[in-house]
Amino acid sequence: MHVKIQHVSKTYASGGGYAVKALDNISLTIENSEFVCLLGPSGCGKSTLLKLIAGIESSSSGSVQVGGAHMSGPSPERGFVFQEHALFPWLNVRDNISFGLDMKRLDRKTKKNTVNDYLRLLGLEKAARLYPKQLSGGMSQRVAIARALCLNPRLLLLDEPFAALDAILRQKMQEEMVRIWRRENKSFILVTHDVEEAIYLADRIIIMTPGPGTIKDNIPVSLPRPRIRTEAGFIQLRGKILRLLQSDEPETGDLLPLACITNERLKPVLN
Amino acid sequence: MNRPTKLLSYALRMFSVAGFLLVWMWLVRANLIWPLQFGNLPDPIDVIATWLSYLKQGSYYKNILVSTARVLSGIALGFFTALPIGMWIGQRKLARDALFPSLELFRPIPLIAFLPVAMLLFPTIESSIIFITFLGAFFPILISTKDAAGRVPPSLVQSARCLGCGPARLIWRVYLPAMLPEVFTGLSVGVGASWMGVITGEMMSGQTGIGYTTWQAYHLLDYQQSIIGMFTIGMLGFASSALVRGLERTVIKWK
Repeated sequence: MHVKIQHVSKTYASGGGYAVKALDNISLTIENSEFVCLLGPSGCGKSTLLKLIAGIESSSSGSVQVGGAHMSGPSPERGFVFQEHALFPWLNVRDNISFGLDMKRLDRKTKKNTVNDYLRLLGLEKAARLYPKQLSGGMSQRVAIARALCLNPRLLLLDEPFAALDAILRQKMQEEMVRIWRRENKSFILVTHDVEEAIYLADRIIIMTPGPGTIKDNIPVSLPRPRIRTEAGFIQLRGKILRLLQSDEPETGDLLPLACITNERLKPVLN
Repeated sequence: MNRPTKLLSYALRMFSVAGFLLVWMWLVRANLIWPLQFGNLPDPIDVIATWLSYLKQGSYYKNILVSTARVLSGIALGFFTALPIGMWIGQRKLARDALFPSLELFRPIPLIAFLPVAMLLFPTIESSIIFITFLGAFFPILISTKDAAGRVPPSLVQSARCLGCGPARLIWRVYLPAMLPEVFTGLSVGVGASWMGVITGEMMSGQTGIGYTTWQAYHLLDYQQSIIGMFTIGMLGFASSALVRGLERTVIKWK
């Protein structure tokens, strides 16, 4: 699905009569069946940008067009996978996945078959009757992905989906992500702060910097798939991106958010 | 727990009840008048014998049934009014500001203090008693629903909306199930308060029911029946909370 973002800014009202500028003049285009990663340190507005594309939040200025139409709230056309997976604790795995299908007028058999397909695709057949509380982090994330995918969205938005997983499981999920993306022919936009993850997954990496969130660079990744993390090209690109991310960090790197607060990021709203 | 410990636990519980009865019997038979006038109480053996004879009488069950019916109608009325109002004021600040202060004004008033107004407002004694049981159920359910509505995780609402869930369905498919555990907490408190309300109402103004007979027996110097009434009320309250807990376990399977 084609996404076109033009001069988008987003300002939050925060406590104490201040406004926080989370995004400043973002312009970005995402092509059909492209895999794009939004990469940057925390506080760079990458999740906010993703939520704008989902329609969960609205921009303060500028325009967001998805599939040629202007944004008007969330839609099942745009699947969203939350960082904290946001599964419904009162529904078992099967019912969580079919939640979106229940909203459509489908006959029982079609619904059941679709759910079965996605249970299989994500290796969840044995977990179908379990409740979210009984699932591990990786399993929960798979359910969240299956729940978004089974509605056949043209665009899948993923907000740091693997951040809470251990390194081995994260790699496995990344491999599965590529497999699913190649099979499904949809656009994927994935937010991450993990450089390696971005290089492994993306056709294109959008590098964002905080205070306020802006796009710093737009790096196409032309390495052939499946990508190998120890290959020269991979390591070279990793070094390049790390340098890019580090170059704008002030000397007191850890104090970045504070530096933003004292600068232009916060402006009094009341006067 | 393994079998011997379980048996021991049961034995201890039986022993506790038997011990209580023995202490009671001793206090009565010794005719103690200090520190309390235990000598005035009926003998537990007589009470048990009378109770057994009551169990064969229809009127005993009829009184239980009457009180239970009042409690059930009060809870039903309280539940179906407190739930939507609680949800509304928990969700919307405007509703909270408009309604909650005046509701808070009534909440600390003990149920018994509502009785004069209830008698004035309602044409029959029956409806005024049901009104008191309703109030008992209403406030605990209202408070827990209001708190629960404010605590539904926004990510669940957002994800439901991303999955194509509209506003009306959001209430049924997300808000209600998400709030259910806390609503049940309110319900069990409400059921207890409702029993308190029905006994109060019956004692003050009733002509039927287990509360009425308990108080009436005292005036007729039938102290055995007063004590039987007291324990019957205790058992009904115990059974009600066990019922709510059982219902909670059947409905909330995911915890």
